[in-house]
Amino acid sequence: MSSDRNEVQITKKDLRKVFFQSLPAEWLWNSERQMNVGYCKGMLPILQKLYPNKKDLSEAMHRHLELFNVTPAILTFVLGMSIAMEEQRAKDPEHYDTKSINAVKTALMGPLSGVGDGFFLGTLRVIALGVGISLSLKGSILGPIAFFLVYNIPHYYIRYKATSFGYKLGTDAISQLSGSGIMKTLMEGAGIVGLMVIGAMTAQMMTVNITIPVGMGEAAQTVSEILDGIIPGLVPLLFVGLINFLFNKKISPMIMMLLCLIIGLIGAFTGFMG
Amino acid sequence: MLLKAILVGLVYFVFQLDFLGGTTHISRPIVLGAITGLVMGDLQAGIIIGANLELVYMGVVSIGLAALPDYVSGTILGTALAIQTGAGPEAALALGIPVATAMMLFDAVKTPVSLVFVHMCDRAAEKADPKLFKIIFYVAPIILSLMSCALISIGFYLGSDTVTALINRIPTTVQNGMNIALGIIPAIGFVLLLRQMAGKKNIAFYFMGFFIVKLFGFSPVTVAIIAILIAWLIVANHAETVTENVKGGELDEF
Repeated sequence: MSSDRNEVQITKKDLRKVFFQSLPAEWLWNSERQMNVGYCKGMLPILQKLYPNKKDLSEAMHRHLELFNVTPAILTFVLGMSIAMEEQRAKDPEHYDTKSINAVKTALMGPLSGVGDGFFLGTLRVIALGVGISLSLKGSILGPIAFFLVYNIPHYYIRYKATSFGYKLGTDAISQLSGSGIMKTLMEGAGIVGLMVIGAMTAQMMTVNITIPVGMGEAAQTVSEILDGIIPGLVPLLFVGLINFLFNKKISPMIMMLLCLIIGLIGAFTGFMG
Repeated sequence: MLLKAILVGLVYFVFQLDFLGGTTHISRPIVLGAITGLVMGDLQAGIIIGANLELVYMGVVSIGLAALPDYVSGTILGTALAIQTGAGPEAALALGIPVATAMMLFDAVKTPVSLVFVHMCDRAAEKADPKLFKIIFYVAPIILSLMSCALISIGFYLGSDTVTALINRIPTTVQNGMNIALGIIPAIGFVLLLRQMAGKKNIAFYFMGFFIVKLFGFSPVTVAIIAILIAWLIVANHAETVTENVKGGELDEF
């Protein structure tokens, strides 16, 4: 048993590595799982250190390839929390609730993006633009340069600091709470926030309309309209259910994606969807 | 002319580089306009056009998950064509729009390709091969954005009118089909996550989040606030016996 345990310590240097490795978080942003590849890439230095065993490393990489998205400027905060949790897990894999790692990530996704987008895109960027545009309109090269500096100096500073802040907060919270039953309850709470946000994102991002008309003339409605009248958003939810069913049947996500494309094309050609 | 076209296309690569440096916003029109001007041999015109386009596109940012109109290619081509034809900043906006439309359609082609790469990353994780993972991670977006670079070059080479004519030839049913598919594909990621997190005991919260948005039109951020309050209630009630530690817990959640 004890051979599985790992007493490796995470150092300041490791955190710095994560900061740099996670910079290109949106480099391979994708519509299926969003920032996932960048997140996993940022965690790699830690995962490689904590899990020398190939099987553990593979599982850990998969864990951090799940859907994730946040304002990139404060991504390091979430990474810091994940690092603290992975470190804890590596010490005692059998007793650690591994699911909680993603539960915390998902719970942080919504609230942090709200704060982060509000500050970085809504405030800092607008200030930087205000400075930059007025110079640019006169044709000065200082315009774009000022914009870049005013935005990015605070951006990089906060992003760098957030790495150790997240890590410390994560470590403190864990050591303070471990042993008491409160950790489990907290994870439940994190899970609730996460699930509700995923539900909200599903409602916002998925648009499926079945446009087959029912009825005649003025009173005609589409199937989607009728279904929405009964349960709003029933059609997107049915698709979520369908995809869950396909996962149960062990169909690969790649094939599901092709299936989505085919459904889209058939829907458009027949006019059944729009 | 051909060299210029290639250079203008490569400005699109700057947009991709933005993400390499950590989303530094060098892809904003205010910066891209200047770079395009530099490539076109008239830096000052580029700066001024960029600033004007920025005023138009200022509100266009990816807040949360909303889809972006392709202001990047619109800026590059609009600026380049405006300088080429000697037209002013007003013309840049109009000149860029057909290409911005074309690039949005092209996104529908790029999405499946990018997902192929994402799934290759999954396979690298399967083999626990960080090296392979990193290679795919770095190379994939380069390939993807070079595809777009080529399109921008062609667009510049052909000019705005030809681009408009070409777009009109793509059957609208194909465009619609791609759009429908893009509305369904996100479900795959959501389901993957749900399968990890949800069980019989808590799946109701997923539906709660879903219906709050559908019924009241709230944004996911609003739902997150509601969710925190609900979680707080539940956690506080569960933890009555160990109240002392709750404070640290709230921080942890936020």
